[in-house]
Amino acid sequence: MHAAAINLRFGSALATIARESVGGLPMGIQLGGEPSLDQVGVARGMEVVLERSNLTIHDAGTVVALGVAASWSPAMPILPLLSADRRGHRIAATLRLAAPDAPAVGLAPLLPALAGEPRAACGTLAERVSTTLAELLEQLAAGDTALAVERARPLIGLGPGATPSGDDLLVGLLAGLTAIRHPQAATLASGVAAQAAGRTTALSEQFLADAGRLHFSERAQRTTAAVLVGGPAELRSAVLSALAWGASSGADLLAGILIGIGADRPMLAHTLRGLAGRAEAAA
Amino acid sequence: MSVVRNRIFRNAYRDSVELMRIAAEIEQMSGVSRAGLLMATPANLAILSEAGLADGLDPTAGPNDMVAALSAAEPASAESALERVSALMRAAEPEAPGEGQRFVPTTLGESVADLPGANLALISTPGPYATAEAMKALKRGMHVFLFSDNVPVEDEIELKRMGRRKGLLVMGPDCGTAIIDGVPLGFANAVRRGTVGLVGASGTGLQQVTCLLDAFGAGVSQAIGVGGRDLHHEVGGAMMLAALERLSADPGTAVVVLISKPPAPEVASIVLRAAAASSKPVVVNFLGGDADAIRAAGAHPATTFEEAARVAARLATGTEPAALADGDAEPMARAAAAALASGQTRIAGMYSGGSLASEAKVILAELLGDAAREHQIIDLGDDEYTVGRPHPMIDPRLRGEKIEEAGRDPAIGVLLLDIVLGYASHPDPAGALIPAIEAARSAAETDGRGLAVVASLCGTRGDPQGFDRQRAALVDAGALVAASNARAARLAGFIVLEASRREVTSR
Repeated sequence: MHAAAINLRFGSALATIARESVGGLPMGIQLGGEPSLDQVGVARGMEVVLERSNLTIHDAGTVVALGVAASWSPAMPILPLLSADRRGHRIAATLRLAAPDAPAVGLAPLLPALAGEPRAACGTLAERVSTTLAELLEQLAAGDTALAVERARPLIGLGPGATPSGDDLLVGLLAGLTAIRHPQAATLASGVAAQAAGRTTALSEQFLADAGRLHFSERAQRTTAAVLVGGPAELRSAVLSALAWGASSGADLLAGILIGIGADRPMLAHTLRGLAGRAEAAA
Repeated sequence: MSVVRNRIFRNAYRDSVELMRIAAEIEQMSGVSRAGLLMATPANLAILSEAGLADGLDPTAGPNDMVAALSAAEPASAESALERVSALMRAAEPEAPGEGQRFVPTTLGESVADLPGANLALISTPGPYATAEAMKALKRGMHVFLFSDNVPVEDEIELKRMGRRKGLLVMGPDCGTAIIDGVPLGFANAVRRGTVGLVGASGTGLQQVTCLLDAFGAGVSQAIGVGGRDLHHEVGGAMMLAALERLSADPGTAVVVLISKPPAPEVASIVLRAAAASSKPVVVNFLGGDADAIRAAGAHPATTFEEAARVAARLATGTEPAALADGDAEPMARAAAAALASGQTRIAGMYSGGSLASEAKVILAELLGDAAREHQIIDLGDDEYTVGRPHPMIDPRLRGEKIEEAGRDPAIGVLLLDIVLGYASHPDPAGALIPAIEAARSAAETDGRGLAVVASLCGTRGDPQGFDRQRAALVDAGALVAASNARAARLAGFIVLEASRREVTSR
């Protein structure tokens, strides 16, 4: 139960009723406006019944009529394919916008570190996972998806938040890979989703399960599209919005998107390894 | 020696910002050295274990449970900290509204239902969400005060078009200040009511003029902010024109003051034509603007905010306002320059008010000519410094850091500051900067230098921070306190002129 969203459990899956500002979610029901959902009388443990086109919570006297709802596709929209160099420029432009205001928690310090700010990630969770991320990218480049999944596993459930930072980053990475139509995106996504079972929070597990089907939230879709093809105002707005989600969730997601979009650029893995090397030198 | 304690909170989901806040509070508690609040996923338990914070952790903790783990100097501190975590977790739990609780609306719709007849919405959401909220308000027939910044200019144009069609004001985006029917909105001061109506594309410009009107014995009918881009070519002065029309027709307004940085030339022409058509005397302060064009339109030009207030007060009261008492600038400048070392010939202006910074630049350019470019006047309220951070009028930390940096720079002889009082500003803006001012002066002194601090105080005796108390604190910290920003900028200019003259003489 949150002001912005109510999570409903259906078997092993979670569905989410969310405010308009949360945007579309896979397995999500978006309401018009910005009601305070923690004030509608729904409490943990109440039974939810899906009957015909109504979702009913009898104990709270709440009915969500789905019959009049418009549907939305969680599949990543088809975006223009950019050259690796062009994507490199887009990543650099995004990092320039995001780095100065990235929070210092979760994996967000990856943003200033990748932007080249000296010692930005030192001593943080971000520095800890930089080698793992570099190895993940190297396995993808080598075409070994199974080993790439192995490298992704330590990130699952890692870090602060109800959706731990490592999960947010993985969702972003899979969104980025999907957007650039990386040949291993689908296999890596389903592999990561399978590994997530029981290793992270129920909410995060659902997001990774959605990503396993290459389904992403509207926020992730819009951010990815803005990074790849948005105009300056759209990119700036997307970056600012992402940095404002949760303590670090949006920033973690954005870092993942950038790594996914640049996954086939060898320089990225090299840079990530450099972050770990720098920490060792400092030690 | 330290002790480690942890506690599991079953099925506890809390907003991550809330968890960070709780962890930060616990780490501040006496005796606590480290604290972490994480979901009990295998990866996070491994981190806690590596950090030595997992001793005795309940092995049944799962990924949907939250673990609070901490180390403390002794068991009592650890237990006390864990109790505090529990209390904060309970406080963060959403509650159903109960009887007797005050209803706090969270949406525009709820607000209107709670206050039928409301005709103005104040919107202060992150920029990307602000347009939608403003549209909703306009559709409900409400005027909009749009405090949010980072709103695209295309959205501003659309909102203002809609406002014009509906006969509604769109004050903003990035509108910091307004006083509507005596009610301050955003950053505004406690000024007396009167017959001067103001329209400003400049938040601190409006504050400075309204405060000085108060000091000159005049009062304000309405002060309407329109946002810093209103007079840009794309927006075309849409809301300055709408507000001017309203004030011209307002029986409570006798004199109108227009305030802006220099508008786009074609927009300036349109606004001046509208001013010429007004039935009321109009004072125009377009910082660094063309005084002849203003005169030609039958309006009264003012080159500074102080002059705008003085002319408007004279027109409104029919008498010449009394002089502001803050001493004679030239002897003060000579005394301040005498305390500077060789090479200290630059000004560091660290501003919280963008329009005040612009005014200082204009004044220094007039006083020093091309040499004005050597001086550094920074608007710390600019988007460049405020994305993800509160405005420096609310949070003085960044300005404090910049002041300390300036103290270490051997070329800086004058620190020029604006201290803006009023509603929404920091509760003690002078007090919050004094440690940084003292550190800067101390760094300069250690290095065998002096450092002149010149501050202007923008406020009234009705402001909640206490005008006299703020002034006294600045004077005690060795600052020269001017009654207006224009005077402070001139005094700073005189000091560096005098310092430069002394350099030349001593060679």
